Amino acid sequence: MNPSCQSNFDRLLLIDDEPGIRRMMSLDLSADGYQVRTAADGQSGLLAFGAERPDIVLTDLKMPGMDGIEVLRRIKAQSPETEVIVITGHGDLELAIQSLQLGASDFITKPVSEAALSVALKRAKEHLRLKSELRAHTQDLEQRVAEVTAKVLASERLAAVGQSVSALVHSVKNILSGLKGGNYLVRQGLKTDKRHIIQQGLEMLERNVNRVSSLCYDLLSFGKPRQPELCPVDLREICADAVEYMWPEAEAREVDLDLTERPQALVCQVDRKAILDAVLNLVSNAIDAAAMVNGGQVRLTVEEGEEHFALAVSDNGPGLDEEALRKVFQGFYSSKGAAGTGLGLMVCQKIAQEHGGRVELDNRPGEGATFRLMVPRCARPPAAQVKAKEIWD
Amino acid sequence: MAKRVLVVDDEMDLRTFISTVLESSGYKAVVAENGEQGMAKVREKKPDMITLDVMMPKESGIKMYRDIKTNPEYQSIPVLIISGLAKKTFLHSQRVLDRFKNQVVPEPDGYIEKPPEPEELIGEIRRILG
Repeated sequence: MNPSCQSNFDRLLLIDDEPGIRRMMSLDLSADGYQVRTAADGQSGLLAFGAERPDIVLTDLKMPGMDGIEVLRRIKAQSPETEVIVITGHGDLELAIQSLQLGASDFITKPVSEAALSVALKRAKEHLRLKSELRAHTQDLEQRVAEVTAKVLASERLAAVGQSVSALVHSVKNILSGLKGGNYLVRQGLKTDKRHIIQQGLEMLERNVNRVSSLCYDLLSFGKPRQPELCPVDLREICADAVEYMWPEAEAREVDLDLTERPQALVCQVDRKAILDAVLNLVSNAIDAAAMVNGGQVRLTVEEGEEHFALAVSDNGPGLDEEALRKVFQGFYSSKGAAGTGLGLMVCQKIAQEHGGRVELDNRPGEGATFRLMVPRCARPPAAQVKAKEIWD
Repeated sequence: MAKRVLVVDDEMDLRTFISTVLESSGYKAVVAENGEQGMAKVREKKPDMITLDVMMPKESGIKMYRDIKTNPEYQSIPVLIISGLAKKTFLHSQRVLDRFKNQVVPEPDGYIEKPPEPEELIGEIRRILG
């Protein structure tokens, strides 16, 4: 940051081709406490400006070579914040007006009166002080907006969990019933010496213990606020990884899991692990859906849009019915009964939002469904994430 | 002949659990996954009693309960609600629907909050079936 931001704005550059005026004015100004640097023409004035970045520039308008108007134009182009006071000859009113139009903060006429100079400088310093305060306030405001946004996001997350508490309780009661049931079956099987009942009971226990673990995992990853660790990733690699991880599951369920090849890399700034988690979730759902039909198929494709890349997971399962469609992105809804925690898609949605993206669903009843995890082609600031959420809601 | 109990619950584990409790106590269990299937089983199997979950996809237990209790042919079949929902909440929903539909539907014959304890479950079924 320019050190002058905290200073008294007393660093001056004086550009004038007359040595006498330079000497006189710099003496006066130094006596008033300004740090003065001088230049004898426009060209060297600009060089000094670039090197020193003074707070205020005083420039004569009529100079051989580059005139004061051009000096003013170039300084304002480089640094619109800098205060430029022009010095005009007597009767150069037109030039003075032109310089004001070009952004000069003031003009004084030759011969320069000490009083006029002092007023012009005071005004320039006041401008600088106000601009600097405004900048500080704006930064402070931005900081506050970011803080409040973070708080709102956190409370929204809590609210989402809160609203779902009754649904969560319902889910836990069902798991508990499964555990009690399994326990009962094992005891009953032992009492009556019926092996198949013991077996049934053990399976029930196992299933419900697994439900508890998945529920905990999903709740933790949903409740945890996290900043994605962005790094450039070729999205095709994520798809390939997902296929590799999910292939055994697909094979076991007799579902054909396939990847649409793309010749060129599609690189984008994402949190690799989080996006992979989300894609695995979508693929796992798609396999569940595809396993419901004969010749089940799941296909992963990276799509390239103008603003987004999409990781598309399509299945040829039954598609979503009206109820599922309504509730699919709400917590704790699962069309899979005991098999799902009902949080998977919420987690995917959260990951997408953390990237400034979203999850879209293309439902084709009776023919299948495509879930698209959309991530922006360029990483976006948190403000854009809030917007993405609003659009989603 | 063994009395027939229809078990309506969307959770497979609950259906297995309740059926096993019933069959271990000498009853015959018939199962259904939601209200719609449940009503079909009521018509088809004419059960002596129904255990009914409330929150189920497709058709909820709230609707099935009213369908049974407002149908002269089936209203005498006792219903034991087994639900994660508190009894108070269920009764409240029924009273709201009573007012809305201008009907009076009686309270269920028994109510067990999930998770059911096997002893409580069998105790209630014995009490209801006499």
